[in-house]
Amino acid sequence: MPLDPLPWSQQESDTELTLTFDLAIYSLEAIQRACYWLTDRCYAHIETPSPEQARVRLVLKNPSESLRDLAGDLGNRVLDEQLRRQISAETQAVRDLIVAQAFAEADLEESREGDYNEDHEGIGR
Amino acid sequence: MTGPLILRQGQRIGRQRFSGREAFRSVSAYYLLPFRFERFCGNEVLVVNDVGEHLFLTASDFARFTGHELRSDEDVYLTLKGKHFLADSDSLVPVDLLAIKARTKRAHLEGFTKLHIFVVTLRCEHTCRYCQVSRVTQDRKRFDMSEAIAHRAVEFTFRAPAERIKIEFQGGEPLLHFERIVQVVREARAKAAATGRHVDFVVASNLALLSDEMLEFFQQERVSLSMSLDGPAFIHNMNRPRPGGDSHEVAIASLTRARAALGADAVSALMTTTRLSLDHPRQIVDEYVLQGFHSIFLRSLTPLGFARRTAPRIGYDIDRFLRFYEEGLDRVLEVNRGGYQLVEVYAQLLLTRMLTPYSTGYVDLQSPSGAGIGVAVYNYDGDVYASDEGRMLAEMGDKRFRLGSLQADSYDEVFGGTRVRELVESSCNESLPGCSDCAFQPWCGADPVFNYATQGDIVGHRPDSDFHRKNAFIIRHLLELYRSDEGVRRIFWRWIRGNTIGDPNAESTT
Repeated sequence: MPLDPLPWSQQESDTELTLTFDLAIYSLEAIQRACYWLTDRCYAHIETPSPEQARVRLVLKNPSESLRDLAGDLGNRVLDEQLRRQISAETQAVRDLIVAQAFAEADLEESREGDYNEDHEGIGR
Repeated sequence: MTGPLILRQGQRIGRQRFSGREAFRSVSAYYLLPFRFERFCGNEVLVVNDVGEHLFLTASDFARFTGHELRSDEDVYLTLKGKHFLADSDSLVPVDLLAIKARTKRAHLEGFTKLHIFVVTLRCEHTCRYCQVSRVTQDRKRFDMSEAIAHRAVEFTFRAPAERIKIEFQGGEPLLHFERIVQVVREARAKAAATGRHVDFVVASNLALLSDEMLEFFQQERVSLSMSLDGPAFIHNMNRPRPGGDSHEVAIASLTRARAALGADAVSALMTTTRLSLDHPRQIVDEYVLQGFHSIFLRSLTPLGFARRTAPRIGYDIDRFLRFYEEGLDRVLEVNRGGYQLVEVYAQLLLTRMLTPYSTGYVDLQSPSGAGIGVAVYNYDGDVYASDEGRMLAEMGDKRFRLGSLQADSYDEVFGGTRVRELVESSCNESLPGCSDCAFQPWCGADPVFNYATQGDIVGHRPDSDFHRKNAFIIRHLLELYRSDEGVRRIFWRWIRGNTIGDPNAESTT
């Protein structure tokens, strides 16, 4: 016997469901990233009917797959993606510092005037 | 008393002479250092920082860690601090240390192209079922590399600033054009001596045509051999037809002679997994032991060229390959437990990336990918390709990864052009969709040529990607094995030490 759909999802048909996310809790980017990882299993469409909400419509590629599992996976993935966005925002400045420090001695092209065709390193000679 | 009491050292409340326990608890004001995470079953979370150091946390500790709720006297706090997942002072020491490790992890980028593949001929006397490129033909002029092209390719090779250069001869069957191998070795030796560089040579061959004259030359010039060995005779001969149907017998006879002339370590072997192989992982591993090899690379079929055409007959899906890999690796570990040292090369590469600060030179496990910057392929006709797979695609009529021509273009145009730049930009997994947030990102790589061949786009689509599926599965499997068994840990570390004692940055496609 099939399980009931998750209460926060709206089943539109045997292969389609809609989930609504509160943008005060989840960022649109987190929702987009979570949807990306499900695109091997479903077609995804995201819209924002209001500034406070994002609505995700998913249509199964394989009709034998469980819509309930899909809805559950999306909900959990969005949570993790949201946390990833928070960690990323919190650590971005340090990450930039580490990369800058790691390659401080590298002769990066951006630091030069002119372009690579001038062959500063004499590689072409 | 009502309400919460906040006690500070030295405070006295009423008649209480000493402060409460809370007064002596370290205040934990920490900040997070960059990391990624992945949930594992069993309520565990894997955290991996940007330089590949990792820890498993309980879901509860992970939530407290990311919520800044850990106390500084907790073991988990100290472990996270020691492994550079958090810092709690204004000191820049953690940043300095992470920067050094980040640079070490990318040491393979230094020196630019280290591996130079010379396709001296496209001719071959085998008609392997999975071969992408070979031609059975007598038309030497059409499919052999000319002296002038070989000379120009050597010039290009030594324009690369690498201190240590590796030249690999491929085909077709390169021994069919032995005179070109001789020319390239001699010219490269002279160039290396003149420029103070070191050059290594390897010939990738089925060994069927290995003559005493060739062996003598290889011995003099310290040229090593990489032979094809797909498993025991019934698999090898089925995969690699040749007149007489005796590819395995001929190869093993040549192997014995080659070892006697060049030394046991001078001959390595490479296998390709076909559908027939899938049911016989133990026999394939045992064949490598029987023939005295100490490494085996359980490789999946490259879905290019003729292999793509014959996929319905000899191909398989990636999940079937992964079951084969798992069984094969189990057998390799059994062999090691029995006292015979046998390394599974893909596991060795990944473990080196996962458990040490070192980088590895394997082209497909790098970010950016080694295509065009770690490896260059000089085709028999003078075209230059970003990778061997790029050359194979060209043989199917798609020259997407042709960087230029030895005859018509300068070194700058070939290696500084838009093609190479596009490949680099599209293969930094730090910024690829799906990879940028993946906990395995510092251990994994990118393969734009594979993405293009299988998905029609060099960036690729991770949820459907066999490259992603394979690496994610194998990394998880290695982590589980490593954590489950002290004996396996000892074996893995022996493999890693063998790798890092050698040259971890030596570029390779094998």
